[in-house]
Amino acid sequence: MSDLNRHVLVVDDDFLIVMGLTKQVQDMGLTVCGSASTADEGIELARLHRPMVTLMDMRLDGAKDGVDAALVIHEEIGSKVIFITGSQDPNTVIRINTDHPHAILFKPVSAKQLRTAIDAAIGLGVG
Amino acid sequence: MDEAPAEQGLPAAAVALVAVAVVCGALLAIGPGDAPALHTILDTSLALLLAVAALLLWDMGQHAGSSFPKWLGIAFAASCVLAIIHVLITVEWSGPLAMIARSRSFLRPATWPVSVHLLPIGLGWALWRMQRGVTGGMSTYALGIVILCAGLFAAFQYLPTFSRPGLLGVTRPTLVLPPFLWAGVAIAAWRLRALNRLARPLTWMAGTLCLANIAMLYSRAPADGPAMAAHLGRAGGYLVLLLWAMQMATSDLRERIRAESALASLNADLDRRVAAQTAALRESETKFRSVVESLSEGLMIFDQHGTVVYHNPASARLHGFEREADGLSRRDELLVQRQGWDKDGVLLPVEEWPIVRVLRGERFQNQFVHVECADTGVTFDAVYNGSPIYSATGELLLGFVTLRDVREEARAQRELARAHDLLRGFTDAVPGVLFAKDRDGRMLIANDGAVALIGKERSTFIGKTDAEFLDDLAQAETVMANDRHVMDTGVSEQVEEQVSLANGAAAIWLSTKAPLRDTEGRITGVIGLSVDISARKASEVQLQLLNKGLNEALTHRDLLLREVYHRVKNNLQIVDSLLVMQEDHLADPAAKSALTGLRGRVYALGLVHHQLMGSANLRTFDVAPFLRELTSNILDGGASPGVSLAVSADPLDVGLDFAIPLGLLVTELVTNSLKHAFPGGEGHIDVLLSRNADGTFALVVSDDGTGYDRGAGSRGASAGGLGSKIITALVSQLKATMTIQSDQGTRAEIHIKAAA
Repeated sequence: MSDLNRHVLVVDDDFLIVMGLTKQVQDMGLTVCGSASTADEGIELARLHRPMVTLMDMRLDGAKDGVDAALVIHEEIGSKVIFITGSQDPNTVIRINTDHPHAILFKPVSAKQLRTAIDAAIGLGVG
Repeated sequence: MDEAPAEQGLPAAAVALVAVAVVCGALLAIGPGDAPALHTILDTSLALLLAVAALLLWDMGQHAGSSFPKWLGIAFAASCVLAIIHVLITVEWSGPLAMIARSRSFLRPATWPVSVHLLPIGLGWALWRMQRGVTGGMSTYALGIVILCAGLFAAFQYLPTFSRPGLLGVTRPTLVLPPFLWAGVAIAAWRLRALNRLARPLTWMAGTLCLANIAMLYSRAPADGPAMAAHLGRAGGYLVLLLWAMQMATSDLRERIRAESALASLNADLDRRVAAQTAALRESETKFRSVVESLSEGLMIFDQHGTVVYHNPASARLHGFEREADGLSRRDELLVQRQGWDKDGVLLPVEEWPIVRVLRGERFQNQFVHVECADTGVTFDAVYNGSPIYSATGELLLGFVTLRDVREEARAQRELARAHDLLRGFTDAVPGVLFAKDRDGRMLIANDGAVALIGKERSTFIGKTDAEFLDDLAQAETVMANDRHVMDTGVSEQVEEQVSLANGAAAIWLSTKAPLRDTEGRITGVIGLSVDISARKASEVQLQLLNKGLNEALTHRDLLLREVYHRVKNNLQIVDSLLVMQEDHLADPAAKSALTGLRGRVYALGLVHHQLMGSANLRTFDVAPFLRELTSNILDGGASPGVSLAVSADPLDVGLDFAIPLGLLVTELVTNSLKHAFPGGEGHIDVLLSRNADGTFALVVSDDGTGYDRGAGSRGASAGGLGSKIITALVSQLKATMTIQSDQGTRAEIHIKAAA
């Protein structure tokens, strides 16, 4: 795991949200290595940048959703995946949990919630 | 004793005969001699024997009421008279009786010849008469004997007595006839021995006399040996008869004693039997009486005139009188004041009354009569049986009728009929099909509903099974299987059954079936009520369809709501992003702080939607966890680690309209406290939401920080401009009142009237 960069990958199909999240991650002093709006794009970027943390939206453009992407990223790269979702649908939550997510945050995410989750992921990653 | 009576005289007579024969043999062996003294003795004894024999025979005839012995007696008596004369003339008489001696020559034939002819002829005549069956005629016989005697007497006056020995050395040819006569008598008597018991001794006597008379043929002098043997033979002959007759008399006596004792024991036996039969009869009568007396049916016995001779207690009770006390005989007449009706209520004519019918010779059973006695007021319903009793000769002796009180039966039957009608009324009034079936599924009772369902006459399906009266065999078998299940388990149950209506239309029935039990609890059938639920079933199907549609709509609505909430939250995230990005372009810390405040308010809005989305009904959620999460997030964002916060909230489900102003209010108040109350960075905030008994709510946010000067107005004027406006607006929106105390810390109390 130590080969991962202290980068954060942001995957969300809503560009304004990507921008807001990116801003907040950067304010924490971390680098956002990229952002994607589809699962495949996210996987591609993750392979490329090997981020320590991926912020993953559930609902994405394209056929695949966040869990599809997260499964691959977690499996292949070993990133800590923090799901950020607006849905609280039980099926969604069950599906998210199949990926052993690092955390699930529900929109709107407060600055404090985001920071705590990322800090924990990075800390774990370093540790 | 058991010998034949005719043989009884023989032993003694035989002894006498043997003795006589020995003496005769001795006399004849001596040869001709002269024994005048013996002659006289024998003549005398002959006279005596004849006298005794004559009397005995007469007496026997008298006793037995028979003529034969009497005739013999007469013959013997005549011989006796001759024998007496014979004896008399041997005496040398003197004086007046010397004439007897003088007439000796005239009377001479009396000595022997007349007598020996007379007796066998008399006896032969008597036997002949007996054999002819003649009775009586004593004087005729006696006259005959006298004439014969006289004739013989006369004849022997001239016939010679002794002569020279002639043919076969016979010296007295004139006496040749008697042996033949006696032989004839002997033969005749032997032949007739079955007719009279005297015939047998007569045979022996005649035989002996025959021999004696043969001996006489050789007599040469009045008292020589042959004459004495002849005399002795005669005596022996008579003795045989006498002894025999005496023995017969003795035997008769013994027989009579024996017969008498047998008769006595027979009598005693008869007495015993009579006594036993009497006792048996008495016992049988007692039994009969006790049976009859305790009979529950009434019994009346009457004679051939119709007069009642006996009422048993049941009959007396039924007729309403005491048997002893109430002048039974008067009422025993055919009562004219009594009236009767048959079961159809038709007045009974007198000739149809039970007793009158019996008197007519009728034998009948089960005649119902409703009886009313006009004089006693007694009324009863009875069933009569009656029968006459005839004597052996076929006359009507007695008659009897039995009567059974059927008032109770009749009442019970009426009650039963009424109950049945009532039941029928009930069952027919019940909407639906009501039925009872037996253990084999045969219909017992069916109401009008059942008749309508089956569509046939009631009589055509009572006693039949469903398989027989339902058109659809499959339906019938299902129904019968359900019936059997109830009867087998003994538990009532409700089942839905398909039985098509009489017009063929399909119908669904809700049948409640219960086991039918007898008094001992054994299951004897099934009773049930079936209600047509076709319409209900149809509406149930429709309802289910409607429900399904509703559920689908509801699910769809939930889906939409979730989607809406999802989009709201997503949009709030966008707003948050915009605020974050805006912040980047601001240098003024106050402006940045204002943006942070905005982000807190956006979070509060988002959290409300988050709670809604997680709730089961998507409309309301419990306020406590919401407040905790909300305040916790505010505290975390405040960068004051030394401040603690506690939330206490009564359980309360809140909706969007209440939760948003409440959440925003709490956000503003807690944010205010964090900003201003704790300059030292340490303190405590309490958030309290309580529900009052009157249904109002109280929200209290208090801190233990520094208060503020009331005169200075609300604190944080710079940043609180917006906050104050928001608080005022929300309090107003919630139709609440707010009081703020700032003394030792600040305490904001908001009283909310409106329900959540």
